[in-house]
Amino acid sequence: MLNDRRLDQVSTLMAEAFEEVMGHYGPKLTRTSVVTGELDLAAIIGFAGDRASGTLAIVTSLDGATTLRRVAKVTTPDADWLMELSNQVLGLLKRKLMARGEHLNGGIPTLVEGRRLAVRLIQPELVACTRVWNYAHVCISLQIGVLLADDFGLSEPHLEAAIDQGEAIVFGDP
Amino acid sequence: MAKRVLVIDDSASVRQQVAQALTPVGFEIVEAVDGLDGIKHIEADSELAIVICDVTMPRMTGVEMLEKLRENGTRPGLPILMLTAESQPALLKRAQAAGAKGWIVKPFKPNILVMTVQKLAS
Repeated sequence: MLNDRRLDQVSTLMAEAFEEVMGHYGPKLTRTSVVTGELDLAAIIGFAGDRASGTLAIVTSLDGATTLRRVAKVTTPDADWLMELSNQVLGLLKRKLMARGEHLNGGIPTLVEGRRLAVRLIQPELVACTRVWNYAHVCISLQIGVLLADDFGLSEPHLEAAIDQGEAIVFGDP
Repeated sequence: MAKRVLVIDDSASVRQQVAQALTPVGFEIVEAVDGLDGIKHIEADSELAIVICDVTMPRMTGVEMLEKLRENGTRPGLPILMLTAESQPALLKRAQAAGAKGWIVKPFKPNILVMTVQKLAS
């Protein structure tokens, strides 16, 4: 049975990943505990490894998706950016888990659109956690649903990444 | 004459961000949406100076594309730079073995992208 501490560790890392990715594009988000406004758009991306699997979802309003897209300074469809954002957040979460000894593969994001979405990552054995932020009067919710093996456990970060976010490696360079 | 860059990513937003970084410094951008589309462009366009390619994409991933190009002997001298949210060491090694010349992790810094592309495309 999953204990709260392991889910709390994973969801804390997820929250850090989201804030760090958003920080790259500029805005400082305000954490909150309450989802406000309507949620109309969800970018959903799956992940799986030897000891952990699950789904991460970024859920927000139509205005929230537009705000997020404008922060990234692109003029493409809001949904396209929301999906790419979920991809980058999962990428950073995977790096944080990798540093602590857990390896995950990620999927390709999908999008769910509707009015007043109630997104619940539900499977009987999955447990989920939601973190919420406010930014520029919009609400952004991240939810992670995970299935963790009994021997899943996060150590302190002890493995160095081959490459850090934003950095470049040219193969063959010393 | 502007050097031509093929940007392969299933996200239109990323393709636009790459164009925003590279167009002001003199590169001409051509776009593809996945590895299969990328191969078609690479086979058809002998003027490409460099390819920037995502890893996780529908139909054909970036690493699969590299391996297919190598298998077919297509444009062996064309530099290919991976631009991706992935950073697994095993994946970097596989891409390098398949002929990738570099790797940048998203979100990318425009000045780092520009410097790396200028270096590889020179």
